[in-house]
Amino acid sequence: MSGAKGILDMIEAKTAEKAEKIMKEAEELRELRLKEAREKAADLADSTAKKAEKEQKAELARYEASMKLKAKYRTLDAKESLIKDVLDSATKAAEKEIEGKKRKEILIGLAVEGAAALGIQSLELVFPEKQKADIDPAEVAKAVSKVTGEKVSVALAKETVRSSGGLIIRAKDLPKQVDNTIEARAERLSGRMRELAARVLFREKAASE
Amino acid sequence: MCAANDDLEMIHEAEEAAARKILEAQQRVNEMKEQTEAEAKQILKEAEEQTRRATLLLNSDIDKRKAEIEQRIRNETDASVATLEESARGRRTAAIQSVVNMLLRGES
Repeated sequence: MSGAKGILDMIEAKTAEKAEKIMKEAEELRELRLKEAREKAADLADSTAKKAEKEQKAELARYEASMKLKAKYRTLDAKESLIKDVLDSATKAAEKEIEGKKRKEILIGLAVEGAAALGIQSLELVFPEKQKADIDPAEVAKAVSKVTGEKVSVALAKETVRSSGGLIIRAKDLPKQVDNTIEARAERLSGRMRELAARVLFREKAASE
Repeated sequence: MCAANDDLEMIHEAEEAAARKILEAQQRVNEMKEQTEAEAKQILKEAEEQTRRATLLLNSDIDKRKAEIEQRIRNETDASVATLEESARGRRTAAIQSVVNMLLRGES
Protein backbone atom coordinates (compact mmCIF):
# COMPACT_ATOMS: atom_id res chain seq x y z
CA MET A 1 0.00 0.00 0.00
CA SER A 2 2.82 2.38 0.86
CA GLY A 3 4.22 2.07 -2.70
CA ALA A 4 0.85 2.79 -4.24
CA LYS A 5 0.31 5.65 -1.77
CA GLY A 6 3.48 7.26 -3.01
CA ILE A 7 2.37 6.96 -6.61
CA LEU A 8 -1.07 8.38 -5.76
CA ASP A 9 0.49 11.32 -3.94
CA MET A 10 2.79 11.92 -6.87
CA ILE A 11 -0.10 11.83 -9.37
CA GLU A 12 -2.08 14.22 -7.21
CA ALA A 13 0.84 16.57 -6.76
CA LYS A 14 1.73 16.56 -10.45
CA THR A 15 -1.91 17.11 -11.40
CA ALA A 16 -2.25 20.01 -8.99
CA GLU A 17 0.99 21.48 -10.29
CA LYS A 18 -0.13 21.13 -13.94
CA ALA A 19 -3.58 22.58 -13.24
CA GLU A 20 -2.00 25.47 -11.37
CA LYS A 21 0.39 26.09 -14.27
CA ILE A 22 -2.51 26.05 -16.75
CA MET A 23 -4.43 28.54 -14.64
CA LYS A 24 -1.41 30.75 -14.08
CA GLU A 25 -0.70 30.92 -17.81
CA ALA A 26 -4.35 31.67 -18.47
CA GLU A 27 -4.28 34.49 -15.87
CA GLU A 28 -1.18 35.94 -17.50
CA LEU A 29 -2.80 35.78 -20.92
CA ARG A 30 -5.91 37.43 -19.49
CA GLU A 31 -3.90 40.30 -18.01
CA LEU A 32 -2.01 40.71 -21.26
CA ARG A 33 -5.20 40.76 -23.31
CA LEU A 34 -6.88 43.28 -21.01
CA LYS A 35 -3.78 45.46 -20.99
CA GLU A 36 -3.76 45.40 -24.78
CA ALA A 37 -7.47 46.32 -24.88
CA ARG A 38 -6.92 49.21 -22.46
CA GLU A 39 -4.00 50.53 -24.53
CA LYS A 40 -6.06 50.26 -27.72
CA ALA A 41 -8.91 52.13 -26.01
CA ALA A 42 -6.54 54.86 -24.87
CA ASP A 43 -5.05 55.14 -28.39
CA LEU A 44 -8.53 55.35 -29.88
CA ALA A 45 -9.57 58.09 -27.46
CA ASP A 46 -6.35 59.98 -28.05
CA SER A 47 -6.38 59.75 -31.86
CA THR A 48 -10.09 60.58 -32.06
CA ALA A 49 -9.68 63.58 -29.78
CA LYS A 50 -6.70 64.84 -31.79
CA LYS A 51 -8.54 64.33 -35.09
CA ALA A 52 -11.67 66.07 -33.80
CA GLU A 53 -9.61 68.96 -32.44
CA LYS A 54 -7.72 69.32 -35.73
CA GLU A 55 -10.98 69.26 -37.73
CA GLN A 56 -12.55 71.80 -35.39
CA LYS A 57 -9.55 74.09 -35.69
CA ALA A 58 -9.67 73.86 -39.50
CA GLU A 59 -13.43 74.48 -39.57
CA LEU A 60 -13.12 77.51 -37.30
CA ALA A 61 -10.31 78.88 -39.47
CA ARG A 62 -12.47 78.43 -42.59
CA TYR A 63 -15.41 80.07 -40.83
CA GLU A 64 -13.31 83.03 -39.70
CA ALA A 65 -11.92 83.49 -43.23
CA SER A 66 -15.45 83.42 -44.62
CA MET A 67 -16.64 85.98 -42.04
CA LYS A 68 -13.68 88.24 -42.83
CA LEU A 69 -14.50 88.03 -46.52
CA LYS A 70 -18.11 89.01 -45.78
CA ALA A 71 -16.83 91.90 -43.66
CA LYS A 72 -14.62 92.99 -46.55
CA TYR A 73 -17.60 92.94 -48.91
CA ARG A 74 -19.60 94.94 -46.38
CA THR A 75 -16.86 97.57 -46.20
CA LEU A 76 -16.66 97.65 -50.01
CA ASP A 77 -20.45 98.06 -50.19
CA ALA A 78 -20.25 100.98 -47.75
CA LYS A 79 -17.48 102.58 -49.83
CA GLU A 80 -19.41 101.97 -53.04
CA SER A 81 -22.46 103.63 -51.54
CA LEU A 82 -20.43 106.70 -50.50
CA ILE A 83 -18.77 106.93 -53.94
CA LYS A 84 -22.13 106.60 -55.72
CA ASP A 85 -23.54 109.40 -53.58
CA VAL A 86 -20.61 111.64 -54.53
CA LEU A 87 -20.87 110.80 -58.26
CA ASP A 88 -24.65 111.36 -58.33
CA SER A 89 -24.35 114.60 -56.40
CA ALA A 90 -21.43 115.74 -58.56
CA THR A 91 -23.41 115.15 -61.78
CA LYS A 92 -26.30 117.20 -60.42
CA ALA A 93 -23.91 119.91 -59.20
CA ALA A 94 -22.19 119.96 -62.62
CA GLU A 95 -25.53 120.36 -64.40
CA LYS A 96 -26.32 123.25 -62.08
CA GLU A 97 -22.88 124.86 -62.39
CA ILE A 98 -22.88 124.73 -66.16
CA GLU A 99 -26.06 126.80 -66.11
CA GLY A 100 -24.62 129.30 -63.64
CA LYS A 101 -22.39 132.34 -63.90
CA LYS A 102 -19.31 130.34 -64.91
CA ARG A 103 -21.12 128.71 -67.83
CA LYS A 104 -19.23 130.60 -70.51
CA GLU A 105 -15.82 129.91 -68.99
CA ILE A 106 -16.66 126.21 -68.60
CA LEU A 107 -17.98 125.80 -72.14
CA ILE A 108 -14.97 127.57 -73.67
CA GLY A 109 -12.75 125.31 -71.59
CA LEU A 110 -14.55 122.21 -72.89
CA ALA A 111 -14.31 123.48 -76.46
CA VAL A 112 -10.59 124.20 -76.14
CA GLU A 113 -9.93 120.77 -74.65
CA GLY A 114 -11.81 119.09 -77.51
CA ALA A 115 -10.20 121.24 -80.19
CA ALA A 116 -6.72 120.56 -78.88
CA ALA A 117 -7.45 116.82 -79.04
CA LEU A 118 -8.77 117.06 -82.61
CA GLY A 119 -5.92 119.22 -83.96
CA ILE A 120 -8.09 120.50 -86.80
CA GLN A 121 -8.37 124.12 -87.93
CA SER A 122 -11.95 124.26 -89.18
CA LEU A 123 -14.29 123.48 -86.32
CA GLU A 124 -17.97 123.45 -85.44
CA LEU A 125 -19.69 123.58 -82.09
CA VAL A 126 -22.84 121.61 -81.37
CA PHE A 127 -24.71 122.78 -78.27
CA PRO A 128 -27.70 121.69 -76.36
CA GLU A 129 -30.43 124.06 -77.47
CA LYS A 130 -30.60 126.12 -74.29
CA GLN A 131 -26.87 126.98 -74.38
CA LYS A 132 -26.60 127.91 -78.00
CA ALA A 133 -27.05 131.66 -77.75
CA ASP A 134 -24.52 132.18 -74.98
CA ILE A 135 -21.28 131.43 -76.74
CA ASP A 136 -19.49 133.51 -79.29
CA PRO A 137 -17.62 131.21 -81.75
CA ALA A 138 -14.96 133.89 -82.29
CA GLU A 139 -14.21 133.88 -78.60
CA VAL A 140 -13.85 130.09 -78.69
CA ALA A 141 -11.57 130.31 -81.74
CA LYS A 142 -9.38 132.84 -79.93
CA ALA A 143 -9.12 130.61 -76.86
CA VAL A 144 -8.29 127.54 -78.96
CA SER A 145 -5.63 129.43 -80.89
CA LYS A 146 -4.11 130.61 -77.64
CA VAL A 147 -3.73 127.02 -76.45
CA THR A 148 -2.79 125.29 -79.73
CA GLY A 149 -0.79 128.14 -81.22
CA GLU A 150 -2.62 127.73 -84.51
CA LYS A 151 -5.26 129.87 -86.10
CA VAL A 152 -8.60 128.14 -86.17
CA SER A 153 -12.08 128.96 -87.36
CA VAL A 154 -15.06 128.02 -85.25
CA ALA A 155 -18.69 128.03 -86.34
CA LEU A 156 -21.95 127.07 -84.69
CA ALA A 157 -23.60 123.97 -86.11
CA LYS A 158 -27.22 124.22 -87.16
CA GLU A 159 -28.28 121.10 -85.30
CA THR A 160 -28.38 120.69 -81.55
CA VAL A 161 -27.67 117.81 -79.23
CA ARG A 162 -29.89 116.32 -76.57
CA SER A 163 -27.93 116.90 -73.38
CA SER A 164 -28.18 118.58 -70.01
CA GLY A 165 -25.05 120.62 -70.71
CA GLY A 166 -21.67 120.86 -72.38
CA LEU A 167 -20.98 120.74 -76.10
CA ILE A 168 -19.67 118.72 -79.00
CA ILE A 169 -16.74 120.09 -80.95
CA ARG A 170 -16.24 118.59 -84.37
CA ALA A 171 -14.33 119.00 -87.59
CA LYS A 172 -16.38 120.95 -90.07
CA ASP A 173 -15.69 118.68 -93.01
CA LEU A 174 -14.47 115.48 -91.39
CA PRO A 175 -16.20 112.83 -89.32
CA LYS A 176 -14.15 113.65 -86.26
CA GLN A 177 -15.51 114.97 -83.02
CA VAL A 178 -15.05 115.20 -79.30
CA ASP A 179 -18.25 114.80 -77.35
CA ASN A 180 -17.88 117.02 -74.31
CA THR A 181 -21.49 116.96 -73.17
CA ILE A 182 -21.89 116.23 -69.48
CA GLU A 183 -23.37 112.80 -70.19
CA ALA A 184 -20.58 111.77 -72.56
CA ARG A 185 -17.87 113.07 -70.25
CA ALA A 186 -19.46 111.36 -67.27
CA GLU A 187 -19.40 108.08 -69.19
CA ARG A 188 -15.90 108.56 -70.59
CA LEU A 189 -14.42 109.70 -67.29
CA SER A 190 -16.40 107.37 -65.05
CA GLY A 191 -13.37 105.30 -64.02
CA ARG A 192 -11.24 108.35 -63.26
CA MET A 193 -14.15 110.06 -61.48
CA ARG A 194 -14.66 107.02 -59.27
CA GLU A 195 -10.96 106.88 -58.53
CA LEU A 196 -10.90 110.58 -57.72
CA ALA A 197 -13.96 110.33 -55.46
CA ALA A 198 -12.40 107.37 -53.61
CA ARG A 199 -9.08 109.17 -53.33
CA VAL A 200 -10.65 112.23 -51.74
CA LEU A 201 -13.21 110.38 -49.61
CA PHE A 202 -10.92 107.67 -48.27
CA ARG A 203 -7.54 109.29 -48.83
CA GLU A 204 -6.62 106.43 -51.12
CA LYS A 205 -3.57 106.67 -53.32
CA ALA A 206 -4.14 107.17 -57.03
CA ALA A 207 -3.57 104.09 -59.22
CA SER A 208 -0.70 105.86 -60.98
CA GLU A 209 1.04 106.78 -57.72
CA MET B 1 -1.97 -10.68 -5.72
CA CYS B 2 -5.30 -9.20 -4.74
CA ALA B 3 -3.61 -6.26 -2.98
CA ALA B 4 -1.56 -5.54 -6.05
CA ASN B 5 -4.69 -5.42 -8.15
CA ASP B 6 -6.25 -3.04 -5.66
CA ASP B 7 -3.23 -0.78 -5.92
CA LEU B 8 -3.37 -0.77 -9.70
CA GLU B 9 -7.07 -0.04 -9.55
CA MET B 10 -6.43 2.90 -7.22
CA ILE B 11 -3.66 4.25 -9.42
CA HIS B 12 -5.88 3.96 -12.47
CA GLU B 13 -8.66 5.84 -10.68
CA ALA B 14 -6.18 8.48 -9.55
CA GLU B 15 -4.99 8.95 -13.13
CA GLU B 16 -8.58 9.31 -14.32
CA ALA B 17 -9.26 11.82 -11.56
CA ALA B 18 -6.11 13.70 -12.57
CA ALA B 19 -7.20 13.78 -16.22
CA ARG B 20 -10.61 15.11 -15.17
CA LYS B 21 -8.98 17.74 -13.01
CA ILE B 22 -6.79 18.89 -15.92
CA LEU B 23 -9.81 18.90 -18.21
CA GLU B 24 -11.72 20.97 -15.65
CA ALA B 25 -8.80 23.39 -15.46
CA GLN B 26 -8.76 23.69 -19.24
CA GLN B 27 -12.51 24.30 -19.24
CA ARG B 28 -12.01 27.05 -16.67
CA VAL B 29 -9.29 28.50 -18.89
CA ASN B 30 -11.66 28.48 -21.86
CA GLU B 31 -14.34 30.18 -19.79
CA MET B 32 -11.76 32.68 -18.62
CA LYS B 33 -10.73 33.35 -22.25
CA GLU B 34 -14.33 33.99 -23.26
CA GLN B 35 -14.84 36.27 -20.28
CA THR B 36 -11.60 38.10 -21.03
CA GLU B 37 -12.61 38.62 -24.65
CA ALA B 38 -15.98 39.96 -23.49
CA GLU B 39 -14.26 42.33 -21.05
CA ALA B 40 -11.80 43.49 -23.72
CA LYS B 41 -14.68 44.16 -26.10
CA GLN B 42 -16.50 46.04 -23.35
CA ILE B 43 -13.43 48.19 -22.67
CA LEU B 44 -13.24 49.14 -26.36
CA LYS B 45 -16.98 49.71 -26.57
CA GLU B 46 -16.88 52.04 -23.56
CA ALA B 47 -13.91 53.88 -25.05
CA GLU B 48 -15.78 54.33 -28.34
CA GLU B 49 -18.83 55.60 -26.49
CA GLN B 50 -16.75 58.04 -24.43
CA THR B 51 -15.03 59.24 -27.61
CA ARG B 52 -18.37 59.68 -29.34
CA ARG B 53 -19.69 61.74 -26.40
CA ALA B 54 -16.50 63.83 -26.33
CA THR B 55 -16.79 64.50 -30.07
CA LEU B 56 -20.44 65.51 -29.68
CA LEU B 57 -19.45 67.88 -26.90
CA LEU B 58 -16.70 69.36 -29.06
CA ASN B 59 -19.13 69.79 -31.96
CA SER B 60 -21.69 71.51 -29.78
CA ASP B 61 -18.92 73.84 -28.63
CA ILE B 62 -17.98 74.70 -32.21
CA ASP B 63 -21.34 76.44 -32.82
CA LYS B 64 -20.71 78.59 -29.77
CA ARG B 65 -17.22 79.45 -30.97
CA LYS B 66 -18.52 80.23 -34.47
CA ALA B 67 -21.08 82.60 -32.96
CA GLU B 68 -18.29 84.28 -30.99
CA ILE B 69 -16.17 84.70 -34.14
CA GLU B 70 -19.15 86.09 -36.08
CA GLN B 71 -19.99 88.56 -33.30
CA ARG B 72 -16.37 89.71 -32.96
CA ILE B 73 -15.95 90.29 -36.70
CA ARG B 74 -19.37 91.99 -36.94
CA ASN B 75 -18.43 94.36 -34.10
CA GLU B 76 -15.08 95.12 -35.73
CA THR B 77 -16.74 95.73 -39.11
CA ASP B 78 -19.49 97.92 -37.58
CA ALA B 79 -16.82 100.06 -35.94
CA SER B 80 -14.66 100.18 -39.06
CA VAL B 81 -17.59 101.09 -41.37
CA ALA B 82 -18.80 103.76 -38.90
CA THR B 83 -15.32 105.30 -38.83
CA LEU B 84 -15.10 105.13 -42.61
CA GLU B 85 -18.50 106.81 -43.07
CA GLU B 86 -17.78 109.45 -40.46
CA SER B 87 -14.45 110.26 -42.03
CA ALA B 88 -15.90 110.29 -45.57
CA ARG B 89 -18.76 112.58 -44.49
CA GLY B 90 -16.19 115.24 -43.62
CA ARG B 91 -14.69 115.03 -47.11
CA ARG B 92 -17.93 114.65 -49.10
CA THR B 93 -18.14 118.29 -50.25
CA ALA B 94 -14.50 118.31 -51.33
CA ALA B 95 -15.00 115.01 -53.20
CA ILE B 96 -18.07 116.35 -55.02
CA GLN B 97 -16.24 119.53 -56.02
CA SER B 98 -13.23 117.53 -57.24
CA VAL B 99 -15.45 115.36 -59.42
CA VAL B 100 -17.33 118.42 -60.73
CA ASN B 101 -13.99 120.00 -61.65
CA MET B 102 -12.94 116.87 -63.49
CA LEU B 103 -16.28 116.66 -65.28
CA LEU B 104 -16.42 120.32 -66.33
CA ARG B 105 -12.80 121.39 -66.41
CA GLY B 106 -10.84 118.20 -66.89
CA GLU B 107 -9.04 118.76 -63.61
CA SER B 108 -7.95 115.78 -61.57
